[in-house]
Amino acid sequence: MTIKKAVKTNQDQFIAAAPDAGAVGVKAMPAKGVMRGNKRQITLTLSPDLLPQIDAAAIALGISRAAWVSMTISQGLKKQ
Amino acid sequence: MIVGVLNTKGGVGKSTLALNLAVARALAGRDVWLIDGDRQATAMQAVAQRAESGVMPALAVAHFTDGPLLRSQVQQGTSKYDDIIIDAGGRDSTALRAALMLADVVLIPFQPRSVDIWAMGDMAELVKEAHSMRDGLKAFALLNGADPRGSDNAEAAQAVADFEHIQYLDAPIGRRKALADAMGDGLSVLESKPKDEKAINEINMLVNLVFILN
Repeated sequence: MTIKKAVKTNQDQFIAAAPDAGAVGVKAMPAKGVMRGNKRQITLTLSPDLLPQIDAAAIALGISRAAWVSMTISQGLKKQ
Repeated sequence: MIVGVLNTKGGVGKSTLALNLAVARALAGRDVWLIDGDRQATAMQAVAQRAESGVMPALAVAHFTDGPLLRSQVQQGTSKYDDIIIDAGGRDSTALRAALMLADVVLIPFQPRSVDIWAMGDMAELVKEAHSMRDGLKAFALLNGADPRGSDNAEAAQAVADFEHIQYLDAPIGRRKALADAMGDGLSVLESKPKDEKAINEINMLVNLVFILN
């Protein structure tokens, strides 16, 4: 007669199921892109109609496209 | 022995109890490692205060908020220390869950208040899950900040008795200023002056129940 053993959940899974585990996971992700001075250069794909709007917003503030994107992302993250 | 002082609820006196247990064991001549698994790092700050004042015995302390790291580090330290006290929680966290996987004894401090009893339900769920994954875990609910009089203590003790896998540990710690004052200096009530005999007796009784009888 075969008696089924109770399936034990993996301890790692149990620990990783805590609500704060997500932040740890993000931190552990390997960094992509290459360093350019103090910045990391990445490739970003955007919809074609978004790009002119970004450029217009950047020009209005007198900053570069990259600076505007960085600033806006920082603001968005702070609001989270 | 590895003892976890854990609760998903904050403000129940985990760090104060963890420090008192660690000091009590160090005073008994044991090599003790206090692990602070709480992002607020209260126990860590208290030990820093203790070190700054040059109080002996000195305590080894480490701060790990990342559960997997806490687990691997404690596993490595198990053979080097006689007793390891883990202070974790304030919310459900990887550090708290890692401690549930490691501890021989888990103490769950709670105050004789409705909100603490409700929160005990969350801990009971985690303890239950931990039981399905490992053997030998003993979990005790410990009344902390007990009232000097009235029926709330007894009612709270009765309420936690209903939780599966959690036993009520009959060593209530009273709401004493001596505990908070000592904590601010990184001291246990066993060391602080003026001596509060009632607080000392309560901590000694807890230490005996946890380390000698388990």
